[in-house]
Amino acid sequence: MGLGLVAWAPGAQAQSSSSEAPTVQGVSSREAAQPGHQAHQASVNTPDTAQAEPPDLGAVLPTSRIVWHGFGDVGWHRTGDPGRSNTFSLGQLNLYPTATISDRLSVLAEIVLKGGTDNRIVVDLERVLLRYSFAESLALSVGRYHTAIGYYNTTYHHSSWLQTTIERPLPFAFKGPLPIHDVGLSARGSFTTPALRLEYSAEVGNGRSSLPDTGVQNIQDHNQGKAVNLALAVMPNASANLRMGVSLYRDTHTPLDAPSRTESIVAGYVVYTNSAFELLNEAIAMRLSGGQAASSTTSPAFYSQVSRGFGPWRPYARVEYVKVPVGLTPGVPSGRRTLGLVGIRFDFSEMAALKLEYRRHESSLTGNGNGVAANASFAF
Amino acid sequence: MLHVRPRSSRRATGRTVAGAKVGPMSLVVALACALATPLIAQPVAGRGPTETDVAVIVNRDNPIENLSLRDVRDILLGQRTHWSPGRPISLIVTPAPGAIERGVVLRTVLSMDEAAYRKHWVGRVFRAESASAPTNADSLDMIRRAVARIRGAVGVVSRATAAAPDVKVVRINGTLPGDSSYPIR
Repeated sequence: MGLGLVAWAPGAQAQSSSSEAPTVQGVSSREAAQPGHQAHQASVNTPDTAQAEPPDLGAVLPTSRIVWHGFGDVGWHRTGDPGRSNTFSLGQLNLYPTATISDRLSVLAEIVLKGGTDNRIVVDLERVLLRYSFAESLALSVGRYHTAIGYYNTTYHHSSWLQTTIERPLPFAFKGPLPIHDVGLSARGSFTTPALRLEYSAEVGNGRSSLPDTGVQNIQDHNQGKAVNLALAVMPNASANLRMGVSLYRDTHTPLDAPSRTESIVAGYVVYTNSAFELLNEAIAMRLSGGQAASSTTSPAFYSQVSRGFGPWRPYARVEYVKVPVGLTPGVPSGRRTLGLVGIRFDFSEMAALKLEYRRHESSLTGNGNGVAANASFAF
Repeated sequence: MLHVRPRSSRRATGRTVAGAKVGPMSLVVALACALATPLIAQPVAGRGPTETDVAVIVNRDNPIENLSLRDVRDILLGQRTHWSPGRPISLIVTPAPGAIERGVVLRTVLSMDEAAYRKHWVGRVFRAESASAPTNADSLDMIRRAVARIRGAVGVVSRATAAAPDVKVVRINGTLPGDSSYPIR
């Protein structure tokens, strides 16, 4: 009888007995609802488990160990833009180790390997969080996180497999108009009443740099001010699959050659998801005030997505719009973009999917055009 | 050594059709049956109406006596993380995929299929909303023993397994397994 955990692939377990992975004396894994992973057991005893136990219980007892998970995707796309050839392209290879240190303390990191515009592969530390849970109503995290602006950013992160479509909506695109990542402190929790469930997030971080071509302020904040984000979400008990939420983000930018400006981002969403239906609607208003602007500048963005599952098949459609005024976001081209897409997703395995999309875009920067894209995404 | 596959947690098995001729109509009927299966609460062959009752068990030191069906759903989905302030739900241990008891819970409590439940937990851990996903155990006896050992643990087992004295059976909506109105069956 062994104490240690072994590599295990639960995703394959329900599909083929030939690929069924080993179990440990009757216990498959603590992370059995996860995709396949490798677990390393570092220690066993906690205050709750201080007594000696039969070895076959070791795998189920709370322990401190690292569990590796992953996502990946590979795509192909073709656009009607002159001069652009159709191409295969690597998506993001996402590795995220998690560890439960104690009943209250846990760690998560998200490491992404992806291709740059120069075809080189780069490695990014997208998230690293140390989380301490005080109670249902309060868990504190410190590190680098995805800002809780709206719904999409903190629901799908860098996983193509988790999201229905191939790419994120325009407002939530990486290197887009919103501050996707931040470094700082976050608190979140939930309250349950007979009528509804209320969730909140509160974040204080470095915010975005005021300098063009500067990424997330991982090491040094450019100014004294901190970005603050507050988010609330409500789920009525009468409809557990319905989620409605709002968020407010506020930061101060201090460009070197201009007066400081205040950035405010308000987002609201109504989302309904169950195993068959998916209806996502989000609207965002990005507002920049102060500085050289004679008046405040407000930039709207929204998307609406609908899909319906028929077994492993899921047709979907989405419309999205974003308008970025000049100077709203350092390093992000200004202009207006509209995108409509229809597609179909086929989950040919519990942990892998194929997607095929047709897209129609209209852009004040690049003109109008059509495109098709295909993508294979997976979790492991 | 513990037995690994007790009767009550055996995996559902299919019948091979290798070598048999399968006509189009058979395929249509089979497909219709497969689609209808999750929608119809069917008793397990050879079992009485309460024999498939699935019990929710906790450690005997846990003061909890009753949960609503919604509470059970929230716990199994990771949306409820504490029994009370200062008492975290430290471990959720469930039968492995394919076990009858797991199927009952997926159908009656979660209204999900196995794939949706797994995807839910993949996302939940990925979003750092939960530190880890539930533990699956092939043996119901293993679940009972783990819950008996860990104060904050909760488990899902058969009514027969829950009869052991080292764990506490939680009432669901005020009813116990075997009661006529017990909801998890």
